[in-house]
Amino acid sequence: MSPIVLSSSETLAADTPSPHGERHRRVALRRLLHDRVAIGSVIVFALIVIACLCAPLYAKYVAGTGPNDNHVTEVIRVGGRPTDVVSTSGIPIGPTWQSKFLLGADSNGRDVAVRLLYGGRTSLMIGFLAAAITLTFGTLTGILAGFFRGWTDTVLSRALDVIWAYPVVLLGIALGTALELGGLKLGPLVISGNSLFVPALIIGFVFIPYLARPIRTQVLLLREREFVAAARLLGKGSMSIIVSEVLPNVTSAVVVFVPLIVANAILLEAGLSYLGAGVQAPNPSWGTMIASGVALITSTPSLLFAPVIMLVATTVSMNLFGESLRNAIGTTTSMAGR
Amino acid sequence: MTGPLLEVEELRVGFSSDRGVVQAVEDVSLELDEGELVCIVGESGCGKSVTALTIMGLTRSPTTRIEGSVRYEGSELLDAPESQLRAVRGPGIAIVFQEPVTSLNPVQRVGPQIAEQIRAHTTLDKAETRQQVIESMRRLGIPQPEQRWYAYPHELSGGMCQRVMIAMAMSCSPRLLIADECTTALDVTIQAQILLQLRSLCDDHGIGVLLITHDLGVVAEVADRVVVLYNGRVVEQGTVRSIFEDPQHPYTWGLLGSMPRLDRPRREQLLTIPGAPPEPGTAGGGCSFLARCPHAFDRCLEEPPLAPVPGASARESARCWLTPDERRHLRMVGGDIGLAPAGDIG
Amino acid sequence: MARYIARRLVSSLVVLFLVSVFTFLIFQVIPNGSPALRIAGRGASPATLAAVVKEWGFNQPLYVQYADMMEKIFTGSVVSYSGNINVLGQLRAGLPATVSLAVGASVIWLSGAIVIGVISSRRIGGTVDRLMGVLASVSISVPVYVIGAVALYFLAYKVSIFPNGGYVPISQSFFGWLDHMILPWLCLSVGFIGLYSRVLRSSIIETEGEDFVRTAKAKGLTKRRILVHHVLRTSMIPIISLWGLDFAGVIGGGAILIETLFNLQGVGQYAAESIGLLDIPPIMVIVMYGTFFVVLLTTAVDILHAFAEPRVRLQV
Repeated sequence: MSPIVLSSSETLAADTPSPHGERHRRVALRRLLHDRVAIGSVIVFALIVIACLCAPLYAKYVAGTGPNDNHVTEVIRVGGRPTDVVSTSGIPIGPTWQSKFLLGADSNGRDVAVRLLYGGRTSLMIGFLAAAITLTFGTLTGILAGFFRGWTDTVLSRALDVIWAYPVVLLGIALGTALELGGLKLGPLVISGNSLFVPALIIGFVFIPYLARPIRTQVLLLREREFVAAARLLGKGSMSIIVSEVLPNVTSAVVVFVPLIVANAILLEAGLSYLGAGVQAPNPSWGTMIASGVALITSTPSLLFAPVIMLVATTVSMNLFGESLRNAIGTTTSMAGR
Repeated sequence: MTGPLLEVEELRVGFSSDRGVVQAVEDVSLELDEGELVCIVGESGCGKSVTALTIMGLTRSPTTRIEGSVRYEGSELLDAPESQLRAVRGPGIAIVFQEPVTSLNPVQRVGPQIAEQIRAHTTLDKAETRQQVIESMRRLGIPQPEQRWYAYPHELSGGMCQRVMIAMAMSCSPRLLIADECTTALDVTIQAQILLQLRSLCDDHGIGVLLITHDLGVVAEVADRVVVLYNGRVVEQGTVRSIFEDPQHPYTWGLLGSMPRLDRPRREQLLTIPGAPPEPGTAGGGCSFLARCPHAFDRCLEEPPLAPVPGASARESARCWLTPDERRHLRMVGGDIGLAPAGDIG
Repeated sequence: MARYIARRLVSSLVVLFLVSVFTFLIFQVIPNGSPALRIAGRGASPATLAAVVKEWGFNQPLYVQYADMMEKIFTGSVVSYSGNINVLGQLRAGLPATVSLAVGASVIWLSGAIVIGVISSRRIGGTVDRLMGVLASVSISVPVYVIGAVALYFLAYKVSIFPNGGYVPISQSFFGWLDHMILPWLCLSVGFIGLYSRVLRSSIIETEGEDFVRTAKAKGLTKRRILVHHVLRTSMIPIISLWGLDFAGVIGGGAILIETLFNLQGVGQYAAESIGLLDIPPIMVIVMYGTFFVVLLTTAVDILHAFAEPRVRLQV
């Protein structure tokens, strides 16, 4: 399996809660601003996001074609010579370095550059959506289990153990294939099988224990600390203690997690789509583009390298930023997972 | 024997970090002879432990600045190569740390942990080493050493772990033993036993012992000589008798005055030293005790040297501008030695 | 110790049971639409569909359906309807390739990670350490099948150093086996080396701050002995736990991507082909067996861990 890398396991470092504070945050921010790697990776990531957001503009005004528009039989002029978009032997055109087919075409005669940007929208959207799901539910279960202990903890921890027991890719495949045909029906919520929300939901779900388990350990330690006891003596209720005392103290652990989870969600999306258990055709995503690129690597390597470079630039920038963030905040949360 | 076993001269140790250099030890000089037990006393954070670790070369790191001189049997250790230090550690100088349980490797049985040191420094074979380890455990009063060989540290009590640590330290028959707050974490009864064992090491085997403590009760019981540290500096040193009966430095008076005494009627309140010691390295110019000293006068803005006490032996000295007469007068508070509360003066 | 093992085993049994229930839910309850349709596969005839409904008990209450599914999975009688092939037989056929891949790769990534982790921990913040940090970040950011595809392109297609995929059983030819396995091993290891070396590095740094390492220095031991006998012995523990988890994950179908790419004909490739055909029964069986294997191996590693580090027994 591709190493799914996330901060996890209590076996390593359940960081001791550090008191939250304005000063602590400012120190972290200053360190981050002095870190060239962090600045560089944020810039790279921002450029990718902006480029993908501008996909419709590029499609309309530069390439003059849509992500799913077919040009198999067309002939374009490259350097003054007419060239088939897809040759008679089925080999698509490589990078032309001009406005149309800047990065060449795929075997269906679709503009790779356009698809790359639209695919990026899909991949990034799934990444962010999945990250949001993981962060919301991971933090929530972690805090509830750690704070209330007893039965709440037993039930939630068991649930986390079960999700954790599955190898990430296997669970993604199980959910992906099971939901592909009919979609999902949870009460009034019905999502069709080829919706982009399905992979986002699956990926977000799969990673929940990787956040919830360390948060739970941290909250277990936190609730023994003086300021929580003090808040209780002041007559504060559980909810108010969670919001005012516990939540601010786990923020740094959660924040450190964000770039990691985004990078891993994008990677998992690519992996599942590559296998056919993620984004469904004809929607472009970096994963599906890589999958079709691998098949044509010998004839048109640019089909593979274009999405790979985008994907790797995104995940590398996120992971490098994540490492800088960890150093800046100074938590000991180490990367571990599977 | 030509010189003392250990000579520390004008030792300075600073740790550099993001926020600049923290000077943990400013100026420490001391000497120690064979068969002598010298105590270093002072509040926590005054540089006692850093001094001890630096003597062993254990504070060496790219971020540590060490100046001055540490000589063991006349040879310099501060700039000695690692190989020379390694040869000294164990058979020359051994150390017993404050936290016996965490100072032992949790995933190794204790017997092999002791044996490891013997095998690093001798050519004994396995069986001989084992014999020697069990012998040294027995000498330290560890019951059933043959079985204890197989114990893990967490299976032993703190006192037993400390004996294992001392047995380990003694296993290569060192000439100098450094004990860093080695009884602080233990019960009073066990503390007394271990102190007696340390004392007998000096008397019976001629080993020099450097005992680091903040407990003057311990000092009175076992020490030959005492070195008082304050904020990384030696402020006074002398024989145990002179320190208790004729202390020269106001800080020493404070330490003595804050000691509870059963042989005197209870005071209304214990005398204390007002304020807290300065953070290492933050003191400005002048005497480092200036801010807490009720007897300070204008001359104290200049740092006093460590000067010999007039009319005493060569190894008695103090770092204070007060004259001997003033000292004798000022240190008496209600018939006992102590540091007068600021309001009572003049 | 016996007490610890007993507790650990009980909790594993609970997890195994819950995993089986959850797998059942994933495939038969949560998705929208008829489960029989999914099990029967694409373009199944009405007769097959009726047979599936009967065999899997889809007209029965849920607990009977659950019992039926478990019985079928664990007696090995699950059949892939699209090809009418017994799933377990296919799995058995794929196991040697998958085990070869997992064993070889895990040895490579473990030893590689130890070497790199130790080297970067020797000069923390130095050039080598920083370079290794960046390389580790890159290596965990690149999908494993991309590494594989690029390696195949350059090392098997452009320059024919390695064969272009395929699997040769070890019983048939040892060197043929080795020749076909080296590239998959290396490709699978890259990301794990990046991850493990960083975990080991921080674990070493943490251990070196421990009191007992100071004691070891005070004993006059050589640097090498302190590193090997005191620091590494403790720092390796989290690595070994991770390793157990990942090794099991790879065997339990985690190597799907790399097996497919290199055409290794293992369990993972079988899973990938089933996904392509949307043939649910094999996926169901692989998910179940794979996860069970992960849980069992993790339990075994935890128990071994308790032997290696006696303190663990006191906790939990």
